[in-house]
Amino acid sequence: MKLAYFPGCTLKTTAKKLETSALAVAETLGLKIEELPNWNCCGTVYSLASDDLIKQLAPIRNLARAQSFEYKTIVTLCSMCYNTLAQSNILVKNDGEKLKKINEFMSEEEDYRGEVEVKHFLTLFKEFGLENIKKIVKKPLSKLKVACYYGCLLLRPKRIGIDDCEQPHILEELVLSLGAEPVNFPYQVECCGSYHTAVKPEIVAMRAYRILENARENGADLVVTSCPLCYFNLKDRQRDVKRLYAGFKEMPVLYFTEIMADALGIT
Amino acid sequence: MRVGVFICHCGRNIASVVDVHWLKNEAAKLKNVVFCEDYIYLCSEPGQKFICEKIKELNLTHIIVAACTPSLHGETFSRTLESAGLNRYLLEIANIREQCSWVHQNTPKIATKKALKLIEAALAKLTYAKPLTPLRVPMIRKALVIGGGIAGIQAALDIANGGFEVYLVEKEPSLGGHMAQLSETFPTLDCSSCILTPKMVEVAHHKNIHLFTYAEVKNIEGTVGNFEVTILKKPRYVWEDKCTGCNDCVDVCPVIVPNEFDQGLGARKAIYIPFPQAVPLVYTIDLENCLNSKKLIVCENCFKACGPRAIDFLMEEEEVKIKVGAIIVATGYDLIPLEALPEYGGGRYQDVITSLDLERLLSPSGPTGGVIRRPSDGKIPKSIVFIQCAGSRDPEHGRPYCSKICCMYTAKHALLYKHAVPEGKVYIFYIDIRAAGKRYEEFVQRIVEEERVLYLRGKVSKVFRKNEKLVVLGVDTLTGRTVEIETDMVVVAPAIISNNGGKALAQILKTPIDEFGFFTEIHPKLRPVESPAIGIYLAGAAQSPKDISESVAQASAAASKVLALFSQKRIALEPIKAEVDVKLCKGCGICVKTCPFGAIKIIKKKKKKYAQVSKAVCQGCGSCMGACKFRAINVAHFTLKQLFSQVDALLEG
Amino acid sequence: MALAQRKPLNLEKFKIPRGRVIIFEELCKGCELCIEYCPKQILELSEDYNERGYHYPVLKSGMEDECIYCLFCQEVCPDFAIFSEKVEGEGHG
Repeated sequence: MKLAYFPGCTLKTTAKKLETSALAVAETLGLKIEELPNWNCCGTVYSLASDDLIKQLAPIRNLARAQSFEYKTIVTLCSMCYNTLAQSNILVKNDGEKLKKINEFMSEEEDYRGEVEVKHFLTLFKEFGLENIKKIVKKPLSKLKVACYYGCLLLRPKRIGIDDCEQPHILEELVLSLGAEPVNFPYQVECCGSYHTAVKPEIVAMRAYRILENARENGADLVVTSCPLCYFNLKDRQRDVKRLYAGFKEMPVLYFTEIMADALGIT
Repeated sequence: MRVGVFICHCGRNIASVVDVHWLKNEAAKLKNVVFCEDYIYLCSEPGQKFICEKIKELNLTHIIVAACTPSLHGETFSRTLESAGLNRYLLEIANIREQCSWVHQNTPKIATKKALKLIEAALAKLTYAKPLTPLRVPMIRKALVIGGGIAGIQAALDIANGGFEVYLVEKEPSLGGHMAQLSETFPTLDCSSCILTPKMVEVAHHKNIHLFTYAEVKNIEGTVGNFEVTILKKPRYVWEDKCTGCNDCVDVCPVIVPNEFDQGLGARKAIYIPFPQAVPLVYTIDLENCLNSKKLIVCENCFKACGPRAIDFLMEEEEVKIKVGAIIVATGYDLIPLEALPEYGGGRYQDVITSLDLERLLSPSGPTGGVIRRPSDGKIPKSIVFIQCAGSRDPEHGRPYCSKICCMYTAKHALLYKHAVPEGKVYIFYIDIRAAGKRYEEFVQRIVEEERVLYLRGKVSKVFRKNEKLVVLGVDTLTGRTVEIETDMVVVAPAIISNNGGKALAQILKTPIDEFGFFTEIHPKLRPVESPAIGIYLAGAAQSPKDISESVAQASAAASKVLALFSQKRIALEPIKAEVDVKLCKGCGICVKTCPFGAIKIIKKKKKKYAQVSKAVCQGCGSCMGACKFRAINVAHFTLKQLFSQVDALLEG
Repeated sequence: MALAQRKPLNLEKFKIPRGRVIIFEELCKGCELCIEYCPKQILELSEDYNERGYHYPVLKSGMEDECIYCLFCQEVCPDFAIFSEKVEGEGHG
C-alpha cells in the first residue's frame, strides 16, 4: 500500500534534515512512500482567519489531491502540518454541509469525499511494529539517555492527538526499541515558545532554557523532537540562551528520525 | 351534556395575542356548550369562585378551561370542580398559552384560530369522558432508606421517631459513609466521629429501625405504598449475633491488605472492622484476600481464636424480601480517582494525594495517628500546595459543575496543617472561593488573615517530581505572573461524583439520573427531595454535591415527605390506569413486553387468555395502548375514542 | 492512587503470627498434601529423598520465615511428619 508523503514548506527548507532522515528510515523499513505530487502549503497560518471555511481550503485541497492520486493515507512529519490536515479532515468528515461548500468553492479540484486518512510518521512507525524496528537495529544506541520532547501540536486537541496529552509515551517506546534509554522528562509537553521566535526570541530563549535544563537535570544526553519549529527553538535559539543565561552548556537536539537513522545504520 | 367554557386572559399572556372576545363568541356556538365566558385570571380566588358559581347556577355537567398548561393549574381547576360537586375528570384544559399565545406571538390571527381549534379538540375529548374515582389501596407504612451515611442515618431516625418502621440498607460493613472518614468538620471544627457516632448508635438501638449492613438492594418492584424490595445480604462469614467485637481474630490473621477506609494509607487484616467505632461492631472477612476460598479452608487462625465461635466460612449470601411504602435514596458521593488528574501527577507520584486522603492522615484514629506525613517517606511536609477545582468546573473533561464543598474543606485543611506545623508554608490555587453557608465566609477569612496562608488565584498546569520534592507550575492571575513552587506535598480537591452504585441503582428504582450520575429531582427549586417516581425520595449528595448541614436538612425533608405520605392508612392512586377490554383482547402479550413497569400479566380464565393490568403498578403511560394491535387496551381518561375524536376535531376544516 | 499501589503507613502496628516449620523427613511418604495446601505456598518437594525413597517437603529458599502458623500441614499430614512451632513476637508481614 503506497502512502502519500506531505512535506510541507519547512521540511523542504530549514528542516531538510528531518525529511532526508525520515525518508531514509522509511525506505529501510520497507514502507512505500511517495511525495504527494503538486502539494501546496497546508495553510497552518490561515488559522488566524476568522472565516471558518477559508482556512480549510488549503488543507482540503491537499487531501483532495491525495484522493485524486488514489492514496488512502497521507503521512506527514511536521507537527503543524499534521495538526492542520487532521483537524480539517475531521471537520469535513463530520459536517457534510461544510464539505459541500468547500468542494463547490474549489470547483477546479476533484470533490473531496473524506476518504483520506492523515497520519504522523510516529504513528506509522508504531503501526509498523516497534519489535520489528528493534529487530533491524544495527547499532543499538545503548547507554544513550534521550529526553523525548513532544511540544504541543502533536498531542492537542484530543481528537487528533497521537497520544495522551499529559503523559505520552509513543516517542519513549520508539527510543527504547532503538536500544536507548528514555529519561523521565516532566517538561516534555511544555510549549517551546512557538512563533514568538520571530518577534520576541527572549521568550523562546527562556522556554528553551527551562526545557533543556529540565532534560539535563533528569540525566539526558540529548533531546529528540519531531516538530521543525520546536527543533529550531530548542537548537538554534541556544545561542540566545547562552547569551541570556550565564553558564548554560549546550544540549544536543536532534530529530527523532536522525537517531533512528543512526540506529538502523543508515548514513 | 351541558358544557361550560371558561377562557382565561392570563393578564396579557394570552389576551395580547389571542382575540379572547372573538374566541368567546365562537366557542359559545359549539355543540353542547351552554355557557361561554372570558375572565382575566381564572386561577385567582375570584376566578375559581366564578367557575364554581356558574356550575351550580347553570347545572353544568362538563367544564372546559382554556388557559395555561395543565401542569401548572390542572390541580387548581380540578379542585374547583370538586368543590362545586362535579367529578374532577369531567374537566378538560385547552392550553392556549404555552401551546398557543406564547409560541405564536408574531401571528395573532393564526393564534386565535388555533385557540378555537384547541377548544374544539378539548370538547371532542370531553364528549367521551367518564367520571372516575381514585383507587384507594392499603399503604404499607414502612420505609426503606438506601445508604447509611449521614443523610441516610438522619432520614431513618426521623421516620423511626415518627413512629414508623424503617429498613436501612448500607453496602459497606459499617454505617457512617464518608463522614466517618473525616477528622474535623467545617466551620465549627467539630470532631466528625464525635458528632456522627451517637447517631450511628441510635440507629443501631432504635426499635423501629432494621439495620442491614454489608447488604445491597438487588431489586424493586411495585409502586408507592406497595414496593417489594429484594435485599441481598453479602456474607460476612461472621455471625452478627455472636460476634462480640473482641478483636482476637484480627491478631492472628496472617493477611495484611490496604484498608479502603484509610484510602489505602492504612492497613487492615483480611478479617476486619473498617474503623474502631464501626456500627454494627461485627467483623467481616474479605474473602478475596483471605487465604481461604469458598471451596478450600486451610487457614483457620481466626476461627480458632474466636471465643464465641462466630466465624463460619460456609456462610452464603442471603436474599431478604421486604415490603415498604416509600423509599429514600441516600447513596452519597465519591471522588474522582487520582488517575483522572494526570496533569497533577495523580496516580504517578505518591505525594500527590486527595483531600479525603488528607482527612485520614489528620484523623487521630487514622494510619498516622493524626500526623500529616508524606506517603513516600513518612516525613512531615514543610510545605503543602492545595489545588482546588481538580476536575470540577471543567467542561473539557465532562464535569462543568462546581463540587461545592472543596473551598471550605481546603481552607479547613490549611488551618489544621498550620496548627500542626506552624512554620509550614501553605499555597492554595483557586478559581473562586465559594463559602456561602452560615459562618462559612468568616471561617475562610479567618484562615486567610490569621493563618497566613497564600491564596493564589489561578490554575496549576503541571506537577512533577524533582528529587525529593514536587514542583508545581501554576499561574497567579491577579499579578499576571507564572508561579513555580517547590513543595513537599500536593493535595488536590477532586471533583465529586455520584457514588458508584448510582447507575445500577437508578435502573432498579426506575428513577432518572442526570448526565453526571446524580439522581434527578422532580423540580430543582420547589421539590428538591422528590424524584419523578412517586414514593421515591432523594437525600444528600446522591442528588447533588453538598456538605453535611445540607445533607442533614435534605434528609429530614425527605423524611417529612414520607411521614406526610404515611399520615393516611390508604393511598389514593390516580385512576388514569390502563384497562383491558377482555372481549377484544387476544392474549398476544405485546402489551406485557411494552410495559416499562411490568404492570401487565397474561392470565388464563375459562379457557380464555387475556391481559390483566395491575392497577397499583400501572403508571398510566399509555405505551400498551399504543402497542395493542387489537385496540383492546385503553387508558382511562385518555381512551382511544377520546384521542381519535380530539385528532379529528383538530384536522377538521 | 490505586489502592493496590499504596504502601500503608502504619504497617508496624500489624503483627501476624509466625511459625517455624519442622519436618521429620524419614516419616514422610511423599503424598505432597502439605505442599499443595500450604496457604502461603512456602513448601516444595526436596531434591533429595529419604530412606524409604520418597521426596519430602522442604521450605522454599528465602521463605523459611514465612510460615503463618495456620497448622494446616500439621493437621493434614497422615503421618505426623510435619508441624509448626509458634514463634513469639514477630513483626509485620
